[in-house]
Amino acid sequence: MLINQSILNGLPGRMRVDGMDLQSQMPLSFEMQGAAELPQQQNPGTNFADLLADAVNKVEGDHHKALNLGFEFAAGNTTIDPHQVMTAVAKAETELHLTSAVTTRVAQGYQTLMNMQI
Amino acid sequence: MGLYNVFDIGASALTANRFWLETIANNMANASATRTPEGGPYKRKMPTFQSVLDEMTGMGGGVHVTGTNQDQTPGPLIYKPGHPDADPNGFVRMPNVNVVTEMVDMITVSRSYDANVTIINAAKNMHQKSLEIGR
Repeated sequence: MLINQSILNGLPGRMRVDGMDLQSQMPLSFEMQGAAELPQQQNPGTNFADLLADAVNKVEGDHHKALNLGFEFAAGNTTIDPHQVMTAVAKAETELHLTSAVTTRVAQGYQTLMNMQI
Repeated sequence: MGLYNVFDIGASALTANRFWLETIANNMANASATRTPEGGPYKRKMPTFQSVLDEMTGMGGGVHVTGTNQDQTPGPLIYKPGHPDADPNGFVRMPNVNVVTEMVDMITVSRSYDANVTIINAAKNMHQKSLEIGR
């Protein structure tokens, strides 16, 4: 899954996410460019796009970790305990619910802002 | 991060319980083993658990297994004159494994596993509930 923020205007930096190949064991990696060039006035925490991207990246990483554990367990790797697979799956599931709730509220807040009459 | 620590702590407890059950199974399987690679009859093994302390926050981080120790109590001497491991008087030193003790430990492990799974489920339910704030 690729997130390319360069199409969004007015953002201080760019974030690139490498999706994890399910055959490989490499964990999810992302690099952040232009973070040092953040203008002093802009607060990154209030940037809706950054919040969304952060949350989605973390969920993607944990989701891939859980999937990989499940595949290895199914392939017969006996060093993996069943409870490790299930706790990884539960973590990914709760994170997904949390991200979905956060993005819903964030979008609602944005809508409220946009609907304000000037 | 928040409630996810509970997942990790619970998972460490489940791993420790799984290891303990392996030790119990090994004890039961070797309850009649009168010879071992290091010589002598089989000696019952017990795992030792150590609590994990997170240096940064000072809070507990779960449990981990530090290893197994042998129970040095000598086992019973049984009179078996024809046994290849019998001493000159015809007695054989049997392992110090007591079936009843191992069964009780197994029940303890099973209940502990259930309890830890319940705690993990409770943490997950609390997480789900917290998403309903402000709805």
